[in-house]
Amino acid sequence: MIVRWPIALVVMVATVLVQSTGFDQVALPSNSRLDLPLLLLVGIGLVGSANTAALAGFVLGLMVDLFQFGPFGIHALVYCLAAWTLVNARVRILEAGASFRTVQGAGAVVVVTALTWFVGGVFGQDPPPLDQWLPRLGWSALFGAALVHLAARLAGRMLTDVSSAASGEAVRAR
Amino acid sequence: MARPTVPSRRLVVLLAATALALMTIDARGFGPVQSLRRAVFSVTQPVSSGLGWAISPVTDGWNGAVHYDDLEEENARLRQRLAELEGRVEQLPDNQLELEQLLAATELEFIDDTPRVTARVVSDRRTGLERIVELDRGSDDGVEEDMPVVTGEGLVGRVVLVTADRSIIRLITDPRLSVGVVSPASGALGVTSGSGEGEDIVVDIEADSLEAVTTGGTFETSGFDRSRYPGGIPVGRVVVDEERDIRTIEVAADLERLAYLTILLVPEPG
Repeated sequence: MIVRWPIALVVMVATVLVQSTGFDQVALPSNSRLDLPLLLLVGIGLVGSANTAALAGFVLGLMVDLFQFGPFGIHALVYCLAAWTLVNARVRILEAGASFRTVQGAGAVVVVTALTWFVGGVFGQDPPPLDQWLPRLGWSALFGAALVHLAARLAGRMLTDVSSAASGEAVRAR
Repeated sequence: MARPTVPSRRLVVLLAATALALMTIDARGFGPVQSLRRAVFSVTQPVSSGLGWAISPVTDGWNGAVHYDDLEEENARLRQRLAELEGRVEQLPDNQLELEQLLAATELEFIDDTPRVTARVVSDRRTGLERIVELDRGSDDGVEEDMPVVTGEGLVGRVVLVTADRSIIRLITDPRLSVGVVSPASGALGVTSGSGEGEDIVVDIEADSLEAVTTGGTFETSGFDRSRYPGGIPVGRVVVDEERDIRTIEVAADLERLAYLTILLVPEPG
């Protein structure tokens, strides 16, 4: 599987822009928020191979870092590790059919959110106070469950199977 | 799908190492990273503004609905304030009234002749790890990085990134911001460090002066040690927790609702 970079970059930039312009400013209880780049990352983790997911996660994380003002590279680190882990988890544990994907999405978003807070805290950022953790993780799980199918579909457009792409080219050549 | 192979592990280790290297380089103040952020901020700013304008009715409506109780409280406060000003309202044309309100919000009794520029908050967003406040003034107005930002109530934070017509500030509650402070009453010196949004800031006071600091005492910027913050800017009131041996400061400026702020155009200490 490979990353279709032109499409992937456009989707990533659009996602990060809409997030910083819109959803970062939309207040939910306990300062929760809908995190589009995170959902896209989970989508990548659910449809990609280990290599493509890690690479696409890294680039997506770098873009998030560019639009924020914390340590440059922190999201790249978290996202590439998370995407790679998601691929492994999907293969080893959770490959129980598409109907199970809602649970996968919720769980993945919660885990990556918590991981981001942890790494952010380690590197001097400002993770939310303890009393906001449960409601915020709850909102994250809800968004993950509701939007994971959409995110996976979007991620599917950014990635393509090498063998199918090659056979498509062969057909066109004939 | 096959299990991840060794090359994928190598790749993820390589990417993680690259990310860590980038973080290290950034922490050491490597200029190109900041320049890259500035460039991206400049290039995407028109798109962001357009997008923000297009979706602002939705976000404003949503935020109004979610924070309805806060708005009611604010409404009651403003009605009371309006009643106080009622006698003067009729004497003033609309634009003068607005100007007066703006001046009242940014009137700085604690600063004399320091050059300043008043800025409007154009974006106030919360990511999972930080709060990013964007102002409508930039280098064209004389704004530089590290300049202090205040309201009439006291210190708000400092500028961390500047483009031609925009700037981003870091709030005093951010864990990455430290400020040298002094108690005007006792002369006790200290250094603050943020504890996160909505939290009081922690102040580390020099050992000799600990006993002189009591709950309710005020602290202001010290202006010492080649500080970019001029002395005398109110920071807040101290709360002493004897049990845990911690001293915190309730920030004087209202950081929840930022609308207009003043940037002090203080030159970098030479």
